[in-house]
Amino acid sequence: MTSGSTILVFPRSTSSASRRLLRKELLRALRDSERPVIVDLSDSRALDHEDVNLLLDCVSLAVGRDTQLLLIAGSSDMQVLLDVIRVSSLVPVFQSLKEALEFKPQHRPASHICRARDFNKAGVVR
Amino acid sequence: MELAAIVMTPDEKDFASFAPHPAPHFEVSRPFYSALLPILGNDVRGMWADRFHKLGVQSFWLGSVSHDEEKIYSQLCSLAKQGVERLLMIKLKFYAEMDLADLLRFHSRSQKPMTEVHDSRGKLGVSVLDRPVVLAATQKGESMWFHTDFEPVMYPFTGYSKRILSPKERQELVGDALVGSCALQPLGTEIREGVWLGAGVSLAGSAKVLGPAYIGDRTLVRPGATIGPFASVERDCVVDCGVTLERSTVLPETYLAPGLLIRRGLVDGGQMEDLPSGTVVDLQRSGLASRMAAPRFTATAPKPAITAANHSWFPTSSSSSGWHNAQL
Repeated sequence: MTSGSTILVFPRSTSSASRRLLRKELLRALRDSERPVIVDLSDSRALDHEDVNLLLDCVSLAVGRDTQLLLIAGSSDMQVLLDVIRVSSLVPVFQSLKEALEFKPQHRPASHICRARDFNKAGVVR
Repeated sequence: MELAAIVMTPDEKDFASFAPHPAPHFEVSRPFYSALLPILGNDVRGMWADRFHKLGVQSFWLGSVSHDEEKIYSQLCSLAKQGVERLLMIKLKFYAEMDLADLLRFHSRSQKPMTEVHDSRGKLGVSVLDRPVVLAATQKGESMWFHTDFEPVMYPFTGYSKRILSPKERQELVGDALVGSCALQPLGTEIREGVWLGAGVSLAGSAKVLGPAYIGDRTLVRPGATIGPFASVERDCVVDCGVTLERSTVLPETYLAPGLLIRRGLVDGGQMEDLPSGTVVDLQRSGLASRMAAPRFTATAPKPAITAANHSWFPTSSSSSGWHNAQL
């Protein structure tokens, strides 16, 4: 963990046992973590179909649970791949860990979300 | 005066990009992106053949430059010995709307034995050579276009040209042709303004084609896919469900997996080049795209043939010499 974020390197190994472990860790982090989850793909030059499936599962889980998922592409190859599978239009993608850690999410924390009673009749926030 | 023409497919070194990826896992489905691939269904060699036919060229040859300059050199020598007095040499690395008759007039007027065509960016790869140039090279035993003593005259070409070995320029050519900014016409039926379909295209009811766009012969577009604007899918491709293709080209016999977003890209089998950055990525490993088996040509599926003459083009690999004489 760094600065309140969970960082996972993806994929760490090509062995199926390691892959299963990574899958478990990633999905658990996305389910349970209150903090942003950063998935670092910068060690990968390409993704195989299992990697793509796992990545899409992660994105789907993060979007469904409103967990902040950030990706580090690391290379232009990976950036293009993430664009092609539309992941970069769903979650923020960065070139480096530094950029990802500096990222400030645009949405407000849950406690600051306006409720219906905060609006006046004209729809303006009080 | 007997005039002959030679059309050469370019050497590997001419390819600026789309070269094999250095990573060891990378499987290259084609040795490199080829200038012989169709552009909006058009065979580039066929276009040259049409021009030769109109020009009254008595015979022309097709050949590949790949790795064997010596082969071309010996072919040129034999042409000279056969009595061919003037040679028109085309290195197939560009598309240009060139008036060959004007080039030959310019060459005759210059009274020099060698003319090379240049545009504002340099050599285009078209030369006119008179017999003495070829014979002199024969005597020297050298590959003539590198070591000739004859100073070429420059023919300045100011018309429309694109270097088609650059995927970026190829896409520019596709865009220009789709909006009618150049003379190249998509080979198919214009079903509505700016949308061309080749023969035997299968388009799902929920697929969208946003013009200008082109879909080549026998290509299958599955439900929810969106093709265009400024997109070209060449022959025998499968675009699977939900794919979005914008300002991009898909080369023949390519399969695209469901849901992909291809923007400003050139896809050739399992490889894709991102046009703005020039980055080449392997889509095959991740199962996102692949090369499909070439279809067998049947009575209902037309053979790729040129229209300029009553003969077909042959793949250069089928000849031991690598050269084919196509008498017009």
